[in-house]
Amino acid sequence: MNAEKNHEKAQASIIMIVLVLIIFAGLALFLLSFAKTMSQEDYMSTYVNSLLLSIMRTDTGYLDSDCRLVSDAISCSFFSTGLVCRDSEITCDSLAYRKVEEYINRTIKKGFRYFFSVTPEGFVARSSSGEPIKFEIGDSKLKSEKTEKWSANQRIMKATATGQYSLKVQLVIAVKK
Amino acid sequence: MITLFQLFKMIFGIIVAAFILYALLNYSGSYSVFQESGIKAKILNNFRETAQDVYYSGNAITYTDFSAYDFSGTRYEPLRNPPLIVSEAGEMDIWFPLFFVMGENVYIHRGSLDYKFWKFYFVEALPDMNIIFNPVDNTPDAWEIMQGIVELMPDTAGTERKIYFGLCDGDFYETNACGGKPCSRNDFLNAQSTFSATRFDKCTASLPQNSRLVVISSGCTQGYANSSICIIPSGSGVGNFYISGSPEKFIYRDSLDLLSAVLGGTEQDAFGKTQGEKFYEYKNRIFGERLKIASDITAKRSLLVTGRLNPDTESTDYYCRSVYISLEGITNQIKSLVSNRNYYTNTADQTNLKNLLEQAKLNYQELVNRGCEYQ
Amino acid sequence: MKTKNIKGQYSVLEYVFLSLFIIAIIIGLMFFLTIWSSIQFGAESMKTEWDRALWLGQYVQNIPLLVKETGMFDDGKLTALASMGPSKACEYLESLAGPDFFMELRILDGNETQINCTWQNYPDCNYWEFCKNTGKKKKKFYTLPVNVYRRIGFKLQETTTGRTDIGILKAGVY
Repeated sequence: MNAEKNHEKAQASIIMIVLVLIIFAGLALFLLSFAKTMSQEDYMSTYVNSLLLSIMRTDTGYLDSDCRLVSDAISCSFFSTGLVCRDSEITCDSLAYRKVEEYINRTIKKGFRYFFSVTPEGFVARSSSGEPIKFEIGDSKLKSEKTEKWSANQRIMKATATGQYSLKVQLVIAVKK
Repeated sequence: MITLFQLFKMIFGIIVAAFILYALLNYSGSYSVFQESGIKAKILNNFRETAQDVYYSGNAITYTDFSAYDFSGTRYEPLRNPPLIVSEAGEMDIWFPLFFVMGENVYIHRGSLDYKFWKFYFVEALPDMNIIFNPVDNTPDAWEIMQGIVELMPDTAGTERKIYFGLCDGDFYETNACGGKPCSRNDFLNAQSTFSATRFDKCTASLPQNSRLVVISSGCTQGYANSSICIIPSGSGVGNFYISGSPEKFIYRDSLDLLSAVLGGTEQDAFGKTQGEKFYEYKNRIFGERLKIASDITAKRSLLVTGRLNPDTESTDYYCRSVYISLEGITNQIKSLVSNRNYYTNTADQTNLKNLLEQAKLNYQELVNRGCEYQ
Repeated sequence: MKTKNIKGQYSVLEYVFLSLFIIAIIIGLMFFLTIWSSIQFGAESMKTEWDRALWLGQYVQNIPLLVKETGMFDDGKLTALASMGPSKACEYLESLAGPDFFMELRILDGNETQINCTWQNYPDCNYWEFCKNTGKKKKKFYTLPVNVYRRIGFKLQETTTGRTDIGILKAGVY
């Protein structure tokens, strides 16, 4: 009698184990199929790179070669700070700030925030007052925030009498909280 | 003593186990085929994505996934609409100009034909191969033909891929013609002057596998040389060539006409048509379609811009107008010419097209020189 | 005797049921694997359509027929294409990009009004659309920032010179 009962218990246990294993395997496969698609990551990476490149190549509206494109105006802010764009009263650094902000705000997707920065590589650019030049626009918290974000980098090269210099331009975007 | 019930359990157990084993083996057999099919389809899809990236970026890459499975049944059908890569795993359409030769490791590279007002980009996806030239006619025209073909091929020096160029002279084939090593693209182009001093006999050598023989001789006829492309050199740049296995005489106008036939090769399909012939036809078809659009757009754009330029004779715009009007006329003529789908089968049309393209190129360069257009 | 007989029968039945149950589980597992593969295949093909939409957005930015350089469209080329009429323009684009392709391009010039570029109003316009078919079913598209080179950008006293503007490209498939 006891042996029979044990026998039945054992059979029931085996069936339960098999059933549970199948259910877990099925669940795992089902959940895996919902993993994030690569397309979205590819898209966001392409988007932020396109945004940065497009902004840099856009005309500011001024024909002076130091102020013509956004990248020219940014370069001028570091290498010829305070230079006034020809046939105007605006300096190239003010123009660079204004245009970068204007173009990003016009173009960026709704619901996104950004941080745009320009950093000299291997040298320090100083303003007329001796202060190191800082070029940052947007939400500076994004720089160090641990959140899902996408970034793009470009370089502006400048050859001067004293050598070749480069500015690193970075754009970081993230969804608004 | 074994009971009846125990005997029943044993026999029943054996029958059930046999059934389960049979069902599982059967299923796993067909499931693995299904899975293999799925994986092969994924490999082909990844290949297309990689080739698309090369078309977009111009950065060459080696694709190695074909070595994982047997793709010997896969073929590229460029004359379908759209062109298809056909395999047991299904068909895949291709929407950009592609010259694809199957192999285990395929080098994907972007080439271009530049006409200044328009560029024709195309992708070559090639396995390791040897292009062997046999310049029976050792003339500057022959060397210009070889140079043109080689310039459109990728340079695999410094990579693991082996796309090499060599020369065949009678029963001798030189494998290491470039300083004791095989010639990659740039090596061959740089060493050209040393080769051109030699006299070459018709090639009868036994060539390595994956070789494509290109004979250049004014004596080319159908069947002149086996398994080869035979090109008749021409001073005008428009001439004829033959593909072994194809009865026709083909017309070339640029190096890509010849290269497409070389890459396609002399292997015939079930209907007796060589892949070289298919590639040649495909090249001219897709080139003609895109040139028609490009010339239509260029003609209209020239007119559009001319109408908005400063008409003052004192302005620098004035020097742009006449060149734009000339470009509009030439590109309209190009558009009419290539609107005939068989433009490439007629020597007069091909010669006319070559001249018009050259004129359009010069016209556009003039616009650039005058500051009217960008490079 | 009768009880023993019934007990014996129950034992046999239990054994048979157990075997049938295990066979049923194995067949169920086989069905599940097959259905899961089909679902994966379905998801894969939908992902492929999104991949195609993204690739088209990048591809169209590099077609020499439409651009000055990668990511920078030429407004003269776009207007020339648009002036051929919607059906001819779409036919040309579909021959390059495949069927069910569409694109829209809007220059972000600060102008609230969207002005379709035509032969007559060029270059005082800011929008192009191709293969826009509102009758068709759902679209899969991506938007990307791009530049547009305006050939008649700055009209100066002695010359006209080009200008580069920023815009948004919307490209995808139906």
